Amino acid sequence: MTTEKTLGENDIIICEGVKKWFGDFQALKGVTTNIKEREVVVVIGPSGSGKSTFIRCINRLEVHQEGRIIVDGVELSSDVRNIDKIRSEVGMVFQQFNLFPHLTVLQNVTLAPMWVRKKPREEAEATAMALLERVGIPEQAAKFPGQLSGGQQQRVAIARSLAMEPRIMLFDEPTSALDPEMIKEVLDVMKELALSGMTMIVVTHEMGFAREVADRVFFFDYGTIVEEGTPEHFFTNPSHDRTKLFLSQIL
Amino acid sequence: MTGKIILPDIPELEFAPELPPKGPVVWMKDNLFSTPRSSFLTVVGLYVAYVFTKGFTGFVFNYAERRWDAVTDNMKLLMVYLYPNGTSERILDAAGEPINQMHRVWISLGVVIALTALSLVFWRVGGKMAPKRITRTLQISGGFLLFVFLGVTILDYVFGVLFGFDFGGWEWQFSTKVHFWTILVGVVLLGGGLLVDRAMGDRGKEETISVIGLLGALAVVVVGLLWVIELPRLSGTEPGAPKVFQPIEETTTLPWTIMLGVAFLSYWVGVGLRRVIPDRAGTRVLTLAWLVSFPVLVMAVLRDPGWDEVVAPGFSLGNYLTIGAAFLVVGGLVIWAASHPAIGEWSAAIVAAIGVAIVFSWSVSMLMFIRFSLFAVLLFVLGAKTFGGATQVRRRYLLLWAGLMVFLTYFFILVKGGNTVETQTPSPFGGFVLTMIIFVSVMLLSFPFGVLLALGRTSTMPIFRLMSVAYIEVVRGVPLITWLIMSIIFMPFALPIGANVPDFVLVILFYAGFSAAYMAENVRGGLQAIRAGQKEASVALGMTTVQTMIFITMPQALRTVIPALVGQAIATFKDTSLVAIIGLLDFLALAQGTVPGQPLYRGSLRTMLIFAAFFYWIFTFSMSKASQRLEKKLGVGER
Repeated sequence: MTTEKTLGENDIIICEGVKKWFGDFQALKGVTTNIKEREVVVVIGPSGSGKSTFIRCINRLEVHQEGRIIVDGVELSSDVRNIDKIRSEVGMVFQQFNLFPHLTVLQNVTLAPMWVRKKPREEAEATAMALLERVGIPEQAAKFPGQLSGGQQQRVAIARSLAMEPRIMLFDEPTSALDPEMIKEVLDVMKELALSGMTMIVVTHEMGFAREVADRVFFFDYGTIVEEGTPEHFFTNPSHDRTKLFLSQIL
Repeated sequence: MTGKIILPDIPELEFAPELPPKGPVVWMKDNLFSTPRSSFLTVVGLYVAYVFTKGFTGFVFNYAERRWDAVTDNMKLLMVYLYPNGTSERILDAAGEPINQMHRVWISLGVVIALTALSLVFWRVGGKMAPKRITRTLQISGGFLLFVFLGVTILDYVFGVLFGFDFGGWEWQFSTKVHFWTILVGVVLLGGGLLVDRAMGDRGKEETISVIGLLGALAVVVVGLLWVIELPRLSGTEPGAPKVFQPIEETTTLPWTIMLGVAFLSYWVGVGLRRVIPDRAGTRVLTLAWLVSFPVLVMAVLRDPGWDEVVAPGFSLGNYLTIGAAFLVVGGLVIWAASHPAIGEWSAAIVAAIGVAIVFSWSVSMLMFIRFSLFAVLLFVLGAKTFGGATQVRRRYLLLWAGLMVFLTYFFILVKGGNTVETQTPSPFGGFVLTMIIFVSVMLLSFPFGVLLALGRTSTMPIFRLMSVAYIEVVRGVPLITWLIMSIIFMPFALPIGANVPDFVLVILFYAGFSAAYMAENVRGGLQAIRAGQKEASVALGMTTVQTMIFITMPQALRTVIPALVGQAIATFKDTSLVAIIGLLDFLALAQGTVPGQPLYRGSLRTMLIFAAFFYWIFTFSMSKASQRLEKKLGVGER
């Protein structure tokens, strides 16, 4: 399904020959791609194929050793000030949620806006409550993460990222640690976000989500993009043998 | 195959079956004599308990040479040493009368009690307790008394008279009077506990009694007893001279009654305040009050500094006020500029300039006040990027600076102002007051230093890591007592000539440095226990390394290591007694040296040691109980 939204003219993320090693193991073997504003990219592939490493490189949680990554016009380098700026523009949602267990839900969401964006507390809290409303759990604001279900925690994590008003959202297998009954509530929030025009890169095994929401699908293997295309092309007429094999095993 | 419905309706809740209560015989069979091995262990354990309690309680209650009068007579000495209480012929006022300064001690104690009561309210300490727990405690203590006084006598009779074993003769010295009353108390406690238990039935298991209320009632009873029971007081110097009862105003009865009033008043004021003030604001103010109260009580109330050159040569109040005001204004301007969002590269230039000023201040003769104030400016400028920003936040940051500067000025005036409470000793502190001063100072100083060392040791910057590791390994490798001896023997040579630092201050500094090394290792353990995802999530939100440390890593790390930190606090408290070895007159030094050294109390050493051990234990036991409550409250171990 294609949406009514129009993709931006500019490439917001540019990757050129990105390579990354962990010791002797090469995780990324030269990834080259451009992603446009408001585009939703779903990354699929077997485990160990480098898809998580790829999106972790985009906000420099992992440091790439060769190639160039340019996010929103700023090239990622070892310059600390660039990194902090990029990280506040790029939100990230993790497989294990990584909420701060010692803070309430509201504090989780307001912390970064207050100390990074330097917003006054009242404004930060108002924004946070609006976001919790948007992800459907305003009544949990005063609770601690440990008191919430997995699906609720992941929705708080999404609200926490959105509170920084990012231009790009990265999702690293956001539903893989959830019970099947809770996956839908998280995917619904992500769909709503995609329709609102957020630039998103989503690593996931949820093929239904990919088919419905993605503008483009990347198939990762051997540390690089093996095949990319629209969901229609991808699920009806994949060209690469490796893609066919992978899809036949999971569908 | 089509499916079929197995469960037509959702089943209703069922209660777990209630087991019938066990009788004492069944309980003993299940728990004490279940196997031959456990029967053997039970018998051996009881025998060891018998021998130990017989020896120990025999001494406490019956031994002919016990000298409990040494404890009561010397209580003031043990607590505050030679702090003037209006008896010394050497410390006289203008009219030639001995000066009494004890009200300073009582005021300090009153402040501590008031803060404690307020803290109990605002941290919502204390819940409800089941009456069953109280009656059980009564039964156990009654049973213990009966075992010791009745059981031991019977066992001794059985072993000694019927079987001819002789376990030493003193157990027959149970004075009939003590014996009779103690057995009566034991019967009342055990019987009363059982009766109340029986009467309450199942209601005894419901949590209905407020813990705070119970403690309050207990305090009222204890203080009330002070008015009823007249403690024998020292009179005359002849050994064996008759003791007379002192009138109330010369005892501690009235002050303790006032303290009780302070406690109740503060508690009710706190309850009233909590209706008006939100908990978060209240706990913050109280934390600050605790931190500030310690130096103020020690330096201002107990020492009473003077403001003229007669008391403190070379000290000028005007100078300190001027310097403090200058730092407040000029430093404030610099910090205001440094916290501006558009400061950019200029920040580094300001830091460099202050750095040069600091190096300069330490290389020439300069007031310590200026050196430390420069450090404070540097710290605030470094923190400006993290804690500054919007005008509202900058204003609050500036307010924090003003507060710190006012406190620094006040503190240095106190330190330099000299000591007007005249004592027969160079330092006005001794006894339990000195023990507490050493303990609290060491904890207050070693905590921030230890956290810094832990951060240094886990830092990615090699120079910090190396320095921290070297410090920790060197300090931990040398016994504490060696460091303490060095602090007294060695430091006077390392200090600038004319620097007159009292011994107990040197001891505190060295002890704090030692304690910080252990603190660092504890905190490092907590830092390692935090999942990598926490740090990633924080930096992915754009937080800097410092912000991540302050808001995410450190709070979690400290929560995990609370048990270890309390363990260290308890060890620190106990080890303050090591200063007795190097000649400081702390609580233990007085109890084991000074008191038994007086001709009147010759032979009281054993009694004093038992008292000292019990006194230390009360404090350490309270600390460990408090930490258990804190752990429960913070939910450590439940994640």
